Amino acid sequence: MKRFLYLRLALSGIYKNRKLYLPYILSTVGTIAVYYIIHFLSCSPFVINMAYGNNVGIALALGKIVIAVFSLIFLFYTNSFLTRRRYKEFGLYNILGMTKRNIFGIVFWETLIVSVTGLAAGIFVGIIFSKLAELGLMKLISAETNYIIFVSGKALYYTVLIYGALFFILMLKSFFVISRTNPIALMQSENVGEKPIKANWVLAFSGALILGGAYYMSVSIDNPLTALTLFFVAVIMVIIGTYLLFMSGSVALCKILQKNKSYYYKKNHFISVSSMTYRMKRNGAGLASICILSTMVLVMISSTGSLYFGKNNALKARYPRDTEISVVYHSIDKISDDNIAKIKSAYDRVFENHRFTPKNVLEYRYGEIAGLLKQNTVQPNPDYDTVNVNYSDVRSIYFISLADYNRVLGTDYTLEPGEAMIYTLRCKYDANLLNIGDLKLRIVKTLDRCINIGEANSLIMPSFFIVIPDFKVLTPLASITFGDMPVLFLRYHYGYDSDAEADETIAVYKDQSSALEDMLTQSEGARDDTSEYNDYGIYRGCIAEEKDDFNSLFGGMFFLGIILSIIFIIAAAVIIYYKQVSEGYEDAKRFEILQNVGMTKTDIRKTINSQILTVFFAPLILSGLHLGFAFPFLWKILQMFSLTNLRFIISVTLVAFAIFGVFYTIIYKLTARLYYSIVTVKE
Amino acid sequence: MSYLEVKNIKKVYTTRFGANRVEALRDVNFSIEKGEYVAVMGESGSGKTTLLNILAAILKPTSGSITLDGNELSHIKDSDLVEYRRDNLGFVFQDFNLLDTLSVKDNIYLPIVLAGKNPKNLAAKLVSLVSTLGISEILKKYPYEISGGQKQRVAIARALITDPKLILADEPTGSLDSKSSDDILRLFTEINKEGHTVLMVTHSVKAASCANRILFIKDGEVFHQIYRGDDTNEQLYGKISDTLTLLQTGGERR
Repeated sequence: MKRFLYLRLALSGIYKNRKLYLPYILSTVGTIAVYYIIHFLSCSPFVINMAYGNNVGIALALGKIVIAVFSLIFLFYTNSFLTRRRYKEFGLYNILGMTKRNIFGIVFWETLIVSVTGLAAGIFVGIIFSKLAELGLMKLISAETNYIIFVSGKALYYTVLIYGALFFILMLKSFFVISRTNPIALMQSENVGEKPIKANWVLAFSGALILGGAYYMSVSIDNPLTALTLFFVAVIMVIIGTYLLFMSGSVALCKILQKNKSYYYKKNHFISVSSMTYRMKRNGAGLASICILSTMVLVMISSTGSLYFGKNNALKARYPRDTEISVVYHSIDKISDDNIAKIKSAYDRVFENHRFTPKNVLEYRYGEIAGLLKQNTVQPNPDYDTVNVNYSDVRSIYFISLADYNRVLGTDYTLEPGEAMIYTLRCKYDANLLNIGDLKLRIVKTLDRCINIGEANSLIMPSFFIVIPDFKVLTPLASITFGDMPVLFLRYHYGYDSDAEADETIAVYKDQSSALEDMLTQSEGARDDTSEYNDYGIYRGCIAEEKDDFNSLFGGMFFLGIILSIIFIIAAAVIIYYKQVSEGYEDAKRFEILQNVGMTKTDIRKTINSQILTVFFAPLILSGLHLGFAFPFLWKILQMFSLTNLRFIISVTLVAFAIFGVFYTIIYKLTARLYYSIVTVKE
Repeated sequence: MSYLEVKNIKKVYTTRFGANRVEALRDVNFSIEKGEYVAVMGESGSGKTTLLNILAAILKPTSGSITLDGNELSHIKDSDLVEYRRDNLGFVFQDFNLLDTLSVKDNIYLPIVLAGKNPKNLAAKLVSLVSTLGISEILKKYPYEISGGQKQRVAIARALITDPKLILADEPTGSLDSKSSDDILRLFTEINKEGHTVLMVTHSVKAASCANRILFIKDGEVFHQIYRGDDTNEQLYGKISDTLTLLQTGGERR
């Protein structure tokens, strides 16, 4: 009988506080469902078996951990809002003669009700949506799937285990607080923390400093590999800086405003500034969390979105033609007209067999070397320290013969011996002389266009394209070796577009490349694939073949980005909701007083509006700023994925911000209405 | 014509569908001269809070008129009522009603800032006010850090800073210990001596005995009133007690 009393008290407690419990339960349902979905996907055979399935699997496993950790922090946060109001009731029960053991009983039932509801509903939603998510993922990466729903026992087991433990910890926390606090203090737990606010200048200042440091890192680093490593350092600095700024910096700012008497003692500023000081102190952590979550969503969506939507551009930049094959030699003699004629006739035989006509054929020869630029000299050295080198000093150099240049671009330039023309990518070169090792060139012209070399597009360092009279000029470079390996690469490149179906295009490409292999093995001897160095090499790519890999990799990432964003948006929405409700109850009294001492209703409305707006949009604006400063990092990292269209990435980022802004505003509208209804100014 | 004229005030509360009518004030008439210190006493449910709310322009009477310094309250537009209250009335509440977000000084400045005036011009007034009230030392503190008696002094300073025509006090000693109560009551007497008109609603005989005149309300009407005349506080205390006894015993028989 007594046990039923606790159950009844627990149920009525949840019902009476449903305005707080409902979003709490919904948020547990949300996080549990999302965890289940991701766990399900990470061990779903569809995902594992698809191309690059392992990569996506690893990403999902990572996402699983992120969500578990995030749920812990987040549920602790929302739970503390909830319990602050419940403790008051428990204090009353305690005074009315209930022992703390009895109260534990109520807490136990409450936890049980909430966790069972949350788990059951969460898993149910999870099972339904896991199928939808699978279909969505398969659609994004253009893979096949079916419509059979099945439940993953493993995912189920871990979901129940992790979230059961989480609820248990929350219950222990309540037990701990209740057993340590006397009933009077419990009753007043809603009103604690009304201490006067003092600005902590040291923390505020260091917050600004840390954030500034992270921003500076982002704009000053130009080595993409360093960017990749330091990105995470910068992320952590931004998180710390944001928390410090919101918790101390905002209070400090309000204090400065209060010191400015002529600003502060104005009707519209007086109430806003003073209560902002108060709010920021209390809600700094919540606002900082919102800001961080928003920034995460924005960074994830804009980067994975850029990858996904830019994948065709990236492919096109990497492979200017649908199919490309290049043969690499290391000696100038080998890249002779004779050899090239042989290769071409091998290709033509394949095309004839397939009755295939290549379109937009692009063939040319080029020499390639890399080194560090100092003043007018590039010192060839392929073994620069890739991590610590300053990438703006590295130059990839592509030599193109005048004949090829004129033929491909339809020009009729002429060059004297010792002369050269230059085209630059991601850098500039203004001097008249250019030395590359022992090779001395006089630059007679700076070109404004050049042959589109896919390899150069796919790299991140600045490139020189140098047009020379012929390849004999390169003799001084051909003898340079690093270890056994010559540093000069000489390539014959053959690329074309295809009108045929993907299957046929791939078949032609495969035949073409095996014909090439056969021919070269015959004339040059077999290659040793285990050795770092061979006399010749083959580099090839076919968009039709690689598209699937690109799709599965970028599609998977984009999908994960969307899923994580949805979770973070839900989390931000719930934090905002709790803020509005808890502040609403506190502010109701304050606005009543203001009305009593002669503040008009219009003024009160105005004050409420300006406060809500500031509290709401400060995190959004700061996360926009974060995104702006994260951009240089992202840009460098995305370049490594062959995404080189800056304007495109900027537009994806802006669209991501706009979409997020719309979501955010909707959440704002909904919760602001709730806030008004709580503080409704009495007649 | 008196400074404050209250004529035939009637207030009827109706439930939403008009099924139940409760007459809170039946027919209240009294007038207060400028510089008077009047206490209003009555049991719970006698209608004294309703009366105070009507005087404060928070509630509208069902019928009757109130005139303060020649201004008829019912002639003021609804939208101007807040300003009327701000400019003419000073409030002291039982639970202080200080804003915990503002320092003591800013709490006192609150009505001035809300009226759109520059508090700088009133700095001298603030200094003399807080020294009279004995709160000069705590101006920089926050309500959280000061005692109940101090809070009520701050509330009084806030009520006085606008130089209101009438000070309305609602159980100003209701939440205070006896020593703080005595201090606050002494302050009200002082304020009154400086020329302020005070109307105090109270349960406490002690508080009422500081006033110059006491109105007793019962069943929505002014039932009786006592003038101080030349009595000391103690003598007045006796008279009030007698009246209350009469009200409670004799009243019930009626």
